[in-house]
Amino acid sequence: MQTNKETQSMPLIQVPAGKTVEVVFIDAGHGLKNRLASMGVLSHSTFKVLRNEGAGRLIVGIKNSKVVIGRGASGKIFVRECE
Amino acid sequence: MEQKKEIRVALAGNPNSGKTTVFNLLTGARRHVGNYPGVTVEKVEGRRDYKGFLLRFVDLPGTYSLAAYSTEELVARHFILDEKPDVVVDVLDASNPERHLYLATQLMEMRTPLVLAFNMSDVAQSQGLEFDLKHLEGLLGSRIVPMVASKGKGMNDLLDAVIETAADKTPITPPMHYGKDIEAELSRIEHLLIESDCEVSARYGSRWVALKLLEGDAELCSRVKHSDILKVVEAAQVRLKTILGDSADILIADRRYGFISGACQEAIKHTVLARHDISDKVDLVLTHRWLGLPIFGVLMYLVFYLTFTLGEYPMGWLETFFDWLGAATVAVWPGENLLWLQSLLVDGVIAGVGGVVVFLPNILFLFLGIAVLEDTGYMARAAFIMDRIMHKIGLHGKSFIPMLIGFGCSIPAIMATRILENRRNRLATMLVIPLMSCGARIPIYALLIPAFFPPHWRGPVMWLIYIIGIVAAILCINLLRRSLLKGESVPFVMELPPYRMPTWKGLSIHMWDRGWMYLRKAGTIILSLSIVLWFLMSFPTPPEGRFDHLTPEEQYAAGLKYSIAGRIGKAMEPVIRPMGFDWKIGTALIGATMAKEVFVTQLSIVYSLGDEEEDEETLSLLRQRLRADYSSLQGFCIMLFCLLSTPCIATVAITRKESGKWRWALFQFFGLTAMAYVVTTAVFQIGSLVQSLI
Repeated sequence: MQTNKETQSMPLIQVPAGKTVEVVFIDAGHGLKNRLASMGVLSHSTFKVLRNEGAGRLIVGIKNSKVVIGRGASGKIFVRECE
Repeated sequence: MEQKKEIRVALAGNPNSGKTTVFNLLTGARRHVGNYPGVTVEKVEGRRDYKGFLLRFVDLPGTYSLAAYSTEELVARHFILDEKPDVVVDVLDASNPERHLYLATQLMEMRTPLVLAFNMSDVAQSQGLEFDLKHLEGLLGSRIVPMVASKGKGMNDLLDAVIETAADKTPITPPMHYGKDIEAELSRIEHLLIESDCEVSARYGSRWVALKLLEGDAELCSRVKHSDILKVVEAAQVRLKTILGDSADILIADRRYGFISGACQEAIKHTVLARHDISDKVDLVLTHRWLGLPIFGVLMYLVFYLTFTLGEYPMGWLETFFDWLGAATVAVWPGENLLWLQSLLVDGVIAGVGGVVVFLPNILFLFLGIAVLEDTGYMARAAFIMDRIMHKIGLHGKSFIPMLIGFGCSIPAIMATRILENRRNRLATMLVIPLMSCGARIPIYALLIPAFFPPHWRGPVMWLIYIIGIVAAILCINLLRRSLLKGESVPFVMELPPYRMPTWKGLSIHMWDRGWMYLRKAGTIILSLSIVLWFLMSFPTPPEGRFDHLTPEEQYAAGLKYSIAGRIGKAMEPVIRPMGFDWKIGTALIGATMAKEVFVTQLSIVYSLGDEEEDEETLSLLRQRLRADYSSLQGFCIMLFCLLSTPCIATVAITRKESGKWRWALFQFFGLTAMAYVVTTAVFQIGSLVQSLI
C-alpha cells in the first residue's frame, strides 16, 4: 500500500509553480505534521503551488491563504498532481 | 459603591486574524502589557465597563492551533484550562473561515463558552461570501458576531454576545463527532480515565483528556501518570493507524477540517468565484527572486532613516533639556551645602535618566516603522526573502531585522526580537545583538582610528571592525544553536497574510506600548545602575587640600583615580595587561559600561583634558597623548575589546527584561566579556610577537 502510494507521488519540492496538487502523505514528525495541519496542509488536502524557485522554498495557496513552506518541510510532503 | 459584575474574557485567534485590532477596539487605552509568568510571551490585559458589567480582557498569543507544540500554544491553552475565563472570544478572518475555524474547533473541544468574532466581514462580503449566520451558529454551537474591527464596526454586538454567553447556564456540548473508529477508542480511554480516578481528567474533562491522549499530546501524556492508561492509548493509536492509515493526531485534525467544511458548505454561499486579487500581483514583485532583496533593502533603509535621522531632532531637544536641567539644578543649588547630593542628582540621576530618555524618539520611530511593515503584512514577505541567507547561519529569516537594527542601537534591536516566534531563535538573536557594532561605539572608533592609523588605512580598519562584529555574531549563533540553545530549528512554515492598510490607532498603540515599556522598565533598572556607577566614580573623595596644587582638570583626574572606579581600574591592571591595556584604559572601560560613548569622555578625564569631547582641539590633543602612550596594535585592541565586550548596562537591563531572566542577561554580559578578553589577548600577544619578529 505504502509503496504503491510512493510510486504515485513526488515530493512537493519538485512541483513547478502553477500546478494544483493533492497531498498523498507527509513523512515527518508530529511537530511538523501538526504545524502543517493547523495551516490546512494534511493528507488529502489540495492546494496550488504559487511559487517555486527551486531553492526548496515554496509559496502555496491553500484555503484562501498563502503559506510559505520551507526547505525542511517541502521535501517531506508527498503530493500527486490534480487534473 | 455598587460592586459591578465581572466577566473575564480571553481573546484567542490566529495570527493575522486582526485579533489585536479587536482587542484595541474593545479596551481602548486602558491596557496593561506584561509577560506570562516564566515565558517570554507577551500578555496584554485591558478592561471595559459595559452595561453595568466590568469586562476584563486578556489577549492570548496568536496561534493556529492549541496542540501545544509551541510556547504560545501552551500559554494559550493553559490560560483557558486553568484560569477558566468566563468567555473565550475567537477572532477569525471571515474571508477565510475554513482555515480560521480550525482553532475554533479546538476551543469547542475544550467546552469553553465561546463567541466567534467574524472579523473583516467586509472583505468576506467583497469576495462574495454569504453567511447564513443563524444556521452556522446552530452548527457550531456558539454565537457569531460579524464585525469590521479596523472600522470600529460590530463592537457593541460583540460585547452583547459576550455578556449573553457568560450568562448562559446550559453546559456546552461539543458538536464534533470524529467518526465511529475514533469515537470507539475515545470512549474506551474515557472510560478508563473515569475508572482510575485520574486527577487530570477530573480537572479538564475526561473526553478532552482522552482526545488529547489519543492525539499523542506530549504535555498531557506526561501528566497522566497511569502507565496502564498510556498503554491503552498506544494500542489505540496503533489500531487507528492500521485501520485508517494515518497517525491519530492527523486523523483527528482531518475530522476537524471535515466538520468545518461540512458546516461551511451548509451555511456559507460563494456568490462570486474566488478571484486572485491585487495581493497576488503585489507579491509577484515584492517576493520576486531578484527584485525582492533590493526592495527590502530600500524599505529597511527608510525605517532606519526614520529612526536615526528624524529621531535625531527630538533627541537633540531632549539632550538640550537634560543639560539645561543639570545646569539649572547646579545654578539654583543653595550654596555649598550637600554637594554630594547635588552631584548625585546632576551626574547620577539626571545624567542617567537623561541618557535613557534621549533614546525614546529613536524607539518610537523605529517601532512605528516596524508596526507599519508588520501591519501591512510586509514583514512576513521580508522574512521569506531573507530566509535564504539567514537559514545558512541557523536563524529564521526574521532575525535579520533586529540584527540590522543593532547597528543603530542594541536596545531597540533587542526589543525588536519580539517579532520572532521561536524562543530559542529569539534568545540566540538577542544574545549576539551587542556584537552588531552600535552607533554609540562610533565615537570610540572616531577617536582611536585617526589617532593610530594613517588616512588611507582608516576606512579599511573601520570596515574590519564591523566585519569582525558580524563574523563573531555568526560564530556565536552557530555555537549557541549547537549547545545551549539546541533544539529543532522550527521548520519554516509561515503564513503570508493578505496585504492590509494599517490603522492609525493600531500603529500609535503599538508605538506607545513599546515606548512606555522602555521608559518604565529599562528606566528603573538603568536609573539604579547609573547611581551605582556614579557612586563608584565619585567615592571616596580625596582628602581635603591634597590636590590643591593641580589645575581643576588635573584635580578631576586625580579624584577619579582616587575613586573606587579608579582603584578598580588600577587593580584590574594585571588582568588587562595581557590585552595591552593599562589602568587608564581600565577606568575608561568601567565608564563605558554605562554607555559606550562614555569611554571617550572618561579617557579625556583621565588625561586631564576636561570632558568636552565635542571640541576638535581637545580631541586632537587627546589623540596625540594616546599616540605617545600606546602603539597602533594597542589602539586596535582597545577598539576590538569595545566591540566584543560587555554591552552597556542599558542593554543588560533590556536583555533581562526581554528574556525574562537575569540568567540570560548575565550570561550575555559575562560571556561577551570573556570572549572579548580571549580574542583581544590573542590578537595582542600574537601581534606583539609578529612585531618583534619583523
